Amino acid sequence: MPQQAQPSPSPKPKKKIRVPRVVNGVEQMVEIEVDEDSGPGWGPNDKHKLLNKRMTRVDGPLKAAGLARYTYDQRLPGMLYGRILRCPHAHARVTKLDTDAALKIPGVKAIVPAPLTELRYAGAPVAAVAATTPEIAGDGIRAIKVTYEVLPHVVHAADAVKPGAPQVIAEEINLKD
Amino acid sequence: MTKHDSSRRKFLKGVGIAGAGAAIADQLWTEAEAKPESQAKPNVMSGEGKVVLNVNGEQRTVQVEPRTTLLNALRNHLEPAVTGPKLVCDMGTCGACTVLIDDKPVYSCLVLAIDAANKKITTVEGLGTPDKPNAVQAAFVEQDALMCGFCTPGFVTTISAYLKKHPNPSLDEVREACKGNFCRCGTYPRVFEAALAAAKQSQA
Repeated sequence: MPQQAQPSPSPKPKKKIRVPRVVNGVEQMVEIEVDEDSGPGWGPNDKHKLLNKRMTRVDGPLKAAGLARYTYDQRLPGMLYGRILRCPHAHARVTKLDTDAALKIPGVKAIVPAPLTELRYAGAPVAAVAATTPEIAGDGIRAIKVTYEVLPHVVHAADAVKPGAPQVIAEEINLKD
Repeated sequence: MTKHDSSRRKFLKGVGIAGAGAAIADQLWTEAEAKPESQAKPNVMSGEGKVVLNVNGEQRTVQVEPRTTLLNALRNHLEPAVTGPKLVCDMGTCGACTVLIDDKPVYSCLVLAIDAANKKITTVEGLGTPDKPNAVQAAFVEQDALMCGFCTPGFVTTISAYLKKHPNPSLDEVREACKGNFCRCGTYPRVFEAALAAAKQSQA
């Protein structure tokens, strides 16, 4: 049975508005068509105090002039600079951490070994050095002698769940249900 | 050895460190000139010496090691410090430390302070002030071309130098000029707009 043709709804009234769009990497104002009744009515633009007004950020002038002071830009009397010595192995244990030579460098004020006994990724922190300049902190890092016991590791998830795979945490299995 | 290259990488690659240090000490360390008796001592690479840096039109004496980068000299050795240029990557990748040496943008993390002696160093602070910004700084504020603002000094410096040489660039040329500066907030579109707006403003 042929369907009764529905009376086509009368087209909704449309209006054109201008909205910002990023075109080819640059924000541009483009004109689009929307329903007349779409969106909330905020009243005429020229009656708004803030809405639809161009606002420049309060911190813009300072930041653009390089004068905004970030925490990072603070320099306090007696301030020390820290550097971290990191593990070059994917899985290892520190068997010896010799900081004697590093501590003798003038300007090296403190060396703190990381509390971890087992290092589980390349880049795991091994020790931290605090010194009077960033350069001397780097000297301190390079003067620390670390003896690693390199432990086995796998790279793929499939290898990690095989029986006998190196355990990420000794007391736990790598794969849990 | 006649002329130093201002790239730290080339510097370390091209010459023996000790040899370079001796040559630099002869030429640039004002302390050595002031005390002739020091010539009797062997020239060594370690230790600090005085270098005069011309920063934003001011002659500033600074105590640095031969290995101290220009960036570190500005931020950590000068008193009061010049903290417009930011240290982020410290390996010539991000552009946050960009300054002008003799009007040419360079990564100040890749320039040794001693190699910047007797050259005109301009940081973002030297381009304009909040009250009297240059065209690029004004456009950055007007076009909202910054969020956290950490990369802004680098961009402003790079673009200011570029517009001086290329007053009427296309969008693609501005992009090309900014390829050495990173923005992690991702405000690139606004940065490019600001550069183009500043160019327009300067032309007017």
